[in-house]
Amino acid sequence: MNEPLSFLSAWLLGFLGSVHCMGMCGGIVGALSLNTKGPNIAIHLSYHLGRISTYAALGFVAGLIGLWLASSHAYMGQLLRVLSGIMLILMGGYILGRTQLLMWFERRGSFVWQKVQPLSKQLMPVRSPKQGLLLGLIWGLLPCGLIYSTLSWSLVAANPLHSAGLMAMFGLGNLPALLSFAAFAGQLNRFKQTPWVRISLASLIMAFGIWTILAPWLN
Amino acid sequence: MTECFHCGADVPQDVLIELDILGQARKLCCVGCEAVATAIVQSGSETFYHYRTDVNETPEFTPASLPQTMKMELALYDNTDVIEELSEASDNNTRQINLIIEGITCAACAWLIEKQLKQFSGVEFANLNLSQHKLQLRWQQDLTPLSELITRIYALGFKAQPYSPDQAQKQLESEQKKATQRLGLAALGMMQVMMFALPLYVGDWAGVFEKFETYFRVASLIITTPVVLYSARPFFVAFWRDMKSRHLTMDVPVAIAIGSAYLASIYSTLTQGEEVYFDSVCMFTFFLLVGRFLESRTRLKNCEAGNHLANVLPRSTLRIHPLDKTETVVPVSQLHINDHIRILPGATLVADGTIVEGQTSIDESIITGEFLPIQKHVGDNVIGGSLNVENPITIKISALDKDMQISTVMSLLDRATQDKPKIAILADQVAQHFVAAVLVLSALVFISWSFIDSDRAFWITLSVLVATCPCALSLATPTALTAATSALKHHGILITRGHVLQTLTRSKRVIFDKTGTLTLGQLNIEKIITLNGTEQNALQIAASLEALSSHPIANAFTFSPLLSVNNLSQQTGAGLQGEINNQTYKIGLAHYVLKQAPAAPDNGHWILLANQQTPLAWFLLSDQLRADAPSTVAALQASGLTCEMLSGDHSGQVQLIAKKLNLDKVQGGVNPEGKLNYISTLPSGDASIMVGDGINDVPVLAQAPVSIAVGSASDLAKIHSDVVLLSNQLQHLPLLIKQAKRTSIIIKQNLIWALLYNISVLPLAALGLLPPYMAAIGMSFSSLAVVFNALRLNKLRLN
Repeated sequence: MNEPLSFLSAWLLGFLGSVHCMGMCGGIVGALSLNTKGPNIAIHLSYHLGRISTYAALGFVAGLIGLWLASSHAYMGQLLRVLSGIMLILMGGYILGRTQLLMWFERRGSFVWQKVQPLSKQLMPVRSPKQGLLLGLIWGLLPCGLIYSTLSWSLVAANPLHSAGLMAMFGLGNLPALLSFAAFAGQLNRFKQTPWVRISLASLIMAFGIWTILAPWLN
Repeated sequence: MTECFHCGADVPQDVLIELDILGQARKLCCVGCEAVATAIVQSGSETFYHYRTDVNETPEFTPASLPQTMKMELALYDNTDVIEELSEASDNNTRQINLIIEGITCAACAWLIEKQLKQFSGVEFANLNLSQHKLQLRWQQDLTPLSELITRIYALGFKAQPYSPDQAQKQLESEQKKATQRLGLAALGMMQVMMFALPLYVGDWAGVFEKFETYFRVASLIITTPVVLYSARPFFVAFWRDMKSRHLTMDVPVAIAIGSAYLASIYSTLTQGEEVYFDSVCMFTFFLLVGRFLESRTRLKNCEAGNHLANVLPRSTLRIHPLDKTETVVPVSQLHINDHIRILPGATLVADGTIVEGQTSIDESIITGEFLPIQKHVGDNVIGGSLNVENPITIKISALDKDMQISTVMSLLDRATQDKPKIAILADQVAQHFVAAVLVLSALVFISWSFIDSDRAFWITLSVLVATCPCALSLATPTALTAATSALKHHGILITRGHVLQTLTRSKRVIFDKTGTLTLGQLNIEKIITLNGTEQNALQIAASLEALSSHPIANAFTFSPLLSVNNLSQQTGAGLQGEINNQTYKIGLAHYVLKQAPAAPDNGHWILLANQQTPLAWFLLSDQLRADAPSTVAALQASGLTCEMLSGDHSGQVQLIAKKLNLDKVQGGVNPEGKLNYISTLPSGDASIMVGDGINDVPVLAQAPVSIAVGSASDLAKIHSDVVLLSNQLQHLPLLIKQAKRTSIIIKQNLIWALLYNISVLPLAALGLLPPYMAAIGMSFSSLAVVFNALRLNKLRLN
């Protein structure tokens, strides 16, 4: 595992980062769906499928940009690597609640959200897997620091398909936490508020960031 | 530390994001949470935050105190005959019904209703369609009676009534379903065939894939066959119909192009020939179907809007046994002539009849348009459809159903509907000439090329047929109308007939009804003249007396605090009398209040307040103008429309309002038939717009070239109008006219663009410079241009 840009690390990033988004995106689908007779698995899964597809599409675009930058400027690849490592470190700080720099990115990103958000109005409450899918596709564009840092990280791969795969794996990494949230909302909420849980998760993500920066020299 | 209202995480100290949720500013932890919460609030699902802790926790709802008449109606829903008529049996014991729910404003309402209903035992399925406001309900009557379910909906603050779509809508629905399937199949086929076709076209790969060519062709043939046989079927059906009726439509060249390209490609595949056109066939079919699909969707939506208003509520009444005087609730359908029925105050009369017991005042505005109730005693005739205002009465039925006087209004209506001027379908006529030209031209091209280069003659002719396909031409109008209609709907302007937007652009005249249309249809105090004491004092005494009366006049008097009144008595049709602070006061008509009453200031609707000796004050009552009436009339006149008023009211108020609004022409005291006659004398070129609300306006609404019902209108008036102002705001009229004009401009732009495109590619195709697949791609681009241009109509703003 010499190259940090592997699918496994993308999955781990998603998994580690999901403390942040559990409360934000997890229970929503369940709560907004109209089914009173227990959670509807099909709706949940279709929502996440939509969400992950959007991530993958974003990753594809990021990969294209990365490819263009890396092939047109000799040192750009290195520069991007360093920048994305820094973004991951910021992400760790963000989860700790220590730095709000990512929020600056979120604010910049929210103009996209303002354009697409009205589309989601008609999809709530969610009644069918189809609506779940569409909602997921739209809500994948939420202004989220986590996504932005992962996106900048996937950009380093400089290959549209690879970047798309990385982003999809990141989305899959969120899945365990987001899906279980509906079921064990209470316990998980307490668990993730525990300081040592946050600190260890955040430091792991920061370690990823450092590794991403240093990887070329480690080989 | 505070917790994020949305996700529950701690809010970092230097973060300040707040959002107004459930009426309070809530702190949020991050931009993401803010975005999600905003989306939830704006989609109207705010209640999510109420229930999220425990989804099954529901607030306590006490059934609102329903009016007596409503309870009677609800009891009817458990009558076996009624249930069988309104619902269908789905399983043993289970029945299914569609209810129209009124009052839904957001997704949360739907959520609430569904959840509440599902809690009843025996409710198997409840699904509320938000856009149609239609609730599908499957339940077991023996476990929970329907009346209980509907009561619960009422208790939540909504109105529910049974709904049955008419035949036309059922047909449109099944058409729409088929159109969707056809479109889907064509889309899938197109994608697959393009995947096979592209490698053969693209230069670099062409060599690599050459050896697979036969395989690709056979695969394309297999995929294209269902597209041609199922998706393109409507074109062939129409082609056959056109051949039989010798009438050219767009379908003729389309069917020729699809059919011949398909057959030629099969031949080419079997004989290893030069070219196959499967990709062009699929693409062509797909883009044509998109146009059809949009069109049928618009029609379905319009039909739904119309159906929405159909009221199939079973009506009930209290029948009195002639001997033992017992009362039973029966459906109106079970009544007979000479039955005695009891009509409570506030209820609508279900039949014509004669009063046998009691005296009351009756609001007959439904027939006459006059807003003041008329005095009725034993022996007087009363009209079905009118409203009992004051006291309970018993009537002996003299006419039911079709024989009722109000049915004459209905028969006027039938006549009017038949006379409605037909809108000539211009586009169809243009298309016919266009199509004939295309066919002749294609034949010429084929013949010419047969001499020049017979190998290329076929595909060049095909290109000509595809390139000249008036596809964008046929999309030009329906897409613009769809976009304009949906934008209007968002503003609460419901278009129920397709021709409206086109007809409105030609309109030169607006005719308003008075009561309920230009005015609010409620009495108000316009003026007080005090004869003794202060105005405040007089108003306080008057309001205290009237507070206990149910007469519509009473609503005009408001004052706080009220005084306590003793020994109140009411003389129907004259006034009220009561004691305040041991002093007897009377309010009402002058001759009732005082023996020697002073003369009224003028011939307006004055009522007098007096104590036993002296008159205290005159109150002038009048119907109040809508606040937005003057600005609306001014805006309409500014845009070049003549504004007129046509009212059934005889009183001097007609002239008064006309003067206030600066109307161009006024007629008062006109009955429904007179209104109808007036409309028919107007030149049809003026495309007059009639705006009304009451039952007495229904025939004229049905006949007017464009009819508009205001939101508070009777259901019948709404059904027979082309436009319903759901928001109940007159000021939307200028907006409607503006949108109609914009639509007409966009349609013209679209038509010009489509024609220009067709004419400019024609030479290219005829000269053999354009292969069929390029022609199909070009056609789709020109269609897209038309669609996007039409989408500009989605943006619509007041002023």
